Amino acid sequence: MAFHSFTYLLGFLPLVLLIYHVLRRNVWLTNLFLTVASWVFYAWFSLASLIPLLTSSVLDFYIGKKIHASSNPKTRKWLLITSLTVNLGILAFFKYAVWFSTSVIGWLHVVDSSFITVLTQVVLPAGLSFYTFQTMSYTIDIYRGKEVPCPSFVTYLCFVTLFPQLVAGPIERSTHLIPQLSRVREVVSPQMAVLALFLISWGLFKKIVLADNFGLLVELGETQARAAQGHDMVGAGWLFAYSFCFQIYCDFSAYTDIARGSALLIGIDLMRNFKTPHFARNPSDFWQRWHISLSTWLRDYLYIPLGGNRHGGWNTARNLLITMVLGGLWHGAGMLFIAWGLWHGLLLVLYHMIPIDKHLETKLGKRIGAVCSTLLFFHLSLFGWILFRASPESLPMILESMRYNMSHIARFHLENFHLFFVGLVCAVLIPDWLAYRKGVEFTDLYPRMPGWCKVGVWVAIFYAIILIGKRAGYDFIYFQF
Amino acid sequence: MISFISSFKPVFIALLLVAAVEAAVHQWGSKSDYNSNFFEFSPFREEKLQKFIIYDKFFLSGLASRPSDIMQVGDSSGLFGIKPKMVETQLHGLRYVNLGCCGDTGWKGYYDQAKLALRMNPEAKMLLLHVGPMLLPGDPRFNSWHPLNTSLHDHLLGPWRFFTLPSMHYRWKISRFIEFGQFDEPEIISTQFDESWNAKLKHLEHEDGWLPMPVDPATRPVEAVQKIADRNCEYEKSAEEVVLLGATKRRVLYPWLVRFAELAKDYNVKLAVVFGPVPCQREKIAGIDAIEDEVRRFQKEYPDVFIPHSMVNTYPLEDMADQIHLWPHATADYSKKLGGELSGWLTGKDGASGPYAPAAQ
Repeated sequence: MAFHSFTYLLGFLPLVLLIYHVLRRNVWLTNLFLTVASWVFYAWFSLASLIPLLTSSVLDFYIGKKIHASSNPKTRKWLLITSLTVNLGILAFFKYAVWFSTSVIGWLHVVDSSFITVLTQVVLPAGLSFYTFQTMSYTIDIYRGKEVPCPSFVTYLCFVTLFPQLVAGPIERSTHLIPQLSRVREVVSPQMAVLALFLISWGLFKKIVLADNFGLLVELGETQARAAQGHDMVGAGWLFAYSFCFQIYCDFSAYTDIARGSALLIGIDLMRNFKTPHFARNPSDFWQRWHISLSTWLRDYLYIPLGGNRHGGWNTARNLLITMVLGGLWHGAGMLFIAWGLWHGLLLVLYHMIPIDKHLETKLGKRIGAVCSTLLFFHLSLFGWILFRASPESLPMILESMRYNMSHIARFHLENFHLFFVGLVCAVLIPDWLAYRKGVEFTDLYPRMPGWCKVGVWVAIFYAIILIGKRAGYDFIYFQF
Repeated sequence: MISFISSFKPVFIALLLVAAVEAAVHQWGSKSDYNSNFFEFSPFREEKLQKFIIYDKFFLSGLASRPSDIMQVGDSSGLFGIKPKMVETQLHGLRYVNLGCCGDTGWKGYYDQAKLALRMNPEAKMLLLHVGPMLLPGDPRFNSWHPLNTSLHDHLLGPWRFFTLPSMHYRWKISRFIEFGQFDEPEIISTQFDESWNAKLKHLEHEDGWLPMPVDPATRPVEAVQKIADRNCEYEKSAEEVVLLGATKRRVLYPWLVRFAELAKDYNVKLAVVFGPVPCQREKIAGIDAIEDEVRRFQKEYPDVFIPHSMVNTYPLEDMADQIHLWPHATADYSKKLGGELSGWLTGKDGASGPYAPAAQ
């Protein structure tokens, strides 16, 4: 079920809230209800997608218990390896079967084509990467002795499947979510309820009005960049890159906002996943602001176990590159996802060796240096977004068309295109700038706004959705991961 | 309570403001025919033509709500292939309306259009499902979650159709302003076709729902049609949907025919399933026996359903524009023939006939 559908907003969510508040005092019953509701939410389009979800959940619950109960290090290790193998095996099969069958096996001609045809029909269950990482972190934490097994199977199932975060995160840690699910939660206060409502509305605005309209511009940019070959309609690659950079941010952060707002209505505080990432000055800063739940997961379960920054410059660089390449591969099969991860790995290594932002601040002064380093890193990450979104076929054309600046786009003969594009960009950056100055997200500013401003924001959100929100828009981008 | 009121006060004031604006727009603002969330009206992307056809047929032209006896739904083989006025010449006073649209809506779309049609015209006596057998919507391109059938279901049939506001019709104007610098709604609905076709599109009621195939026959000689037929005379792709995360496939024709039969029962109308003409030769079509077995099974379980044509109802290449569409010059004869078959069946002269009727086995 999509968060931005009427079915979710006016049917599923109100019904769940109603029943939740009736059952609220009984923890076991509440969690059972939320688990079943989450299954309904998840299986809305495909009942079969519950199979890998349940396999992963049940396996890790029992393996977690066994690991905790065992005092034999060998047994504990083998149990952990079993869990990781099954989880990563499921992930690899669904995520990489199509890519592997069409590219690698296809090139080698080692398997007959009917087998490849079968593999190409594999459908990736939504959110697989998210819940797999969530259950894996649970088992690993028990193995490391940082967590004890959840005593209740129902609470554990609720932790894995809780509908607001099931499909596209945030990737929650058991240490954060299970304690919240294990106690009777207070009735949501009016202040919290209105904040939750604002998170959901702001998320809808970002998805329907900003992300989906940027998506149109991404398509337009890609089409025009392809058409630019041999013609004079150039500069479209810039439109493609800028639009996608804002599209993916609005799309993914919208999902997180709606997830956090929905969870807040059932008394759950989900972790923050974004914090004005476009104002990051260096790669480390960026990864503390972008997809925070994934970057911290990669840090805790991959980068640090690899050695982190403990064994000198070369090892740190190697660990950064491995972590980021695997982070790229987590997003999906394809050389360009790997290239995206590698690009960010290289940026981390580069800034680790030469702190460019610090140099700029020293040379140009704190304020101008900060602006320059923000702009520089924004454009470095922009190249990454091109790799993330482009197809291998369109990439050369997009890069080629970027040899010319964006003013050439005027030749598209789209009357008020510039107005539209600039308007959308301002709608992303101005609220984020206001929040960045206070070190928070825009939604955190709501309680501090004066009354007239709140009214204005509500009316603006409403009419933006009514008048320029896309109706049959795109799915959330991160559903495919 | 005080805390509740103070927290939600800005929300309530905003709602009051919105209500005031909407009342003002309703009273003094401009009006549009296309005030529905069914339409996308995005800048830089032409609105789907199929949406205009469906919306015009069901809501603007009054075709769906007028007292017709036979209501046709289905894909574009019927939209371009059936002239209701010609069918009616054989029907002895019964009225026929062509509400067919397009394969893009998929089986679910045909089903929802049938349901909508039966809701809007409770006097109907018969539902007729017309499909082009060489482009059945089991094809992955027409899978059941296609955005067109989703928005059709959500915004025309489901409860969300009531969620409209007077100001919503400014959406088209705004997207036109962004794209073209104009604030008006265009005379021409689709730039894909010429003015005469656009005029027809806007006035479907003159032909009771029929539209001519929007391709100039001069641009597509018989040899070109032959090539199209060679490429597309197959069932395999059309007959199955991938299910269980890609682990297996499911045949879809039989279950959808059953749903239509049950829908007809629910509304107490007769059902006819008509497979449109094709330029294909039976012996060249792979997988035909398996898919016809589904139709036979259906006919055996629902003997009251009229299926007048074989799935391979071969027509001369000269009459066909592609694997499922007739050229306009051939539609009159085809429509009259169909009218005769329906008349024979409705008056009981032909009894339970048709190539898949148990008696014909």
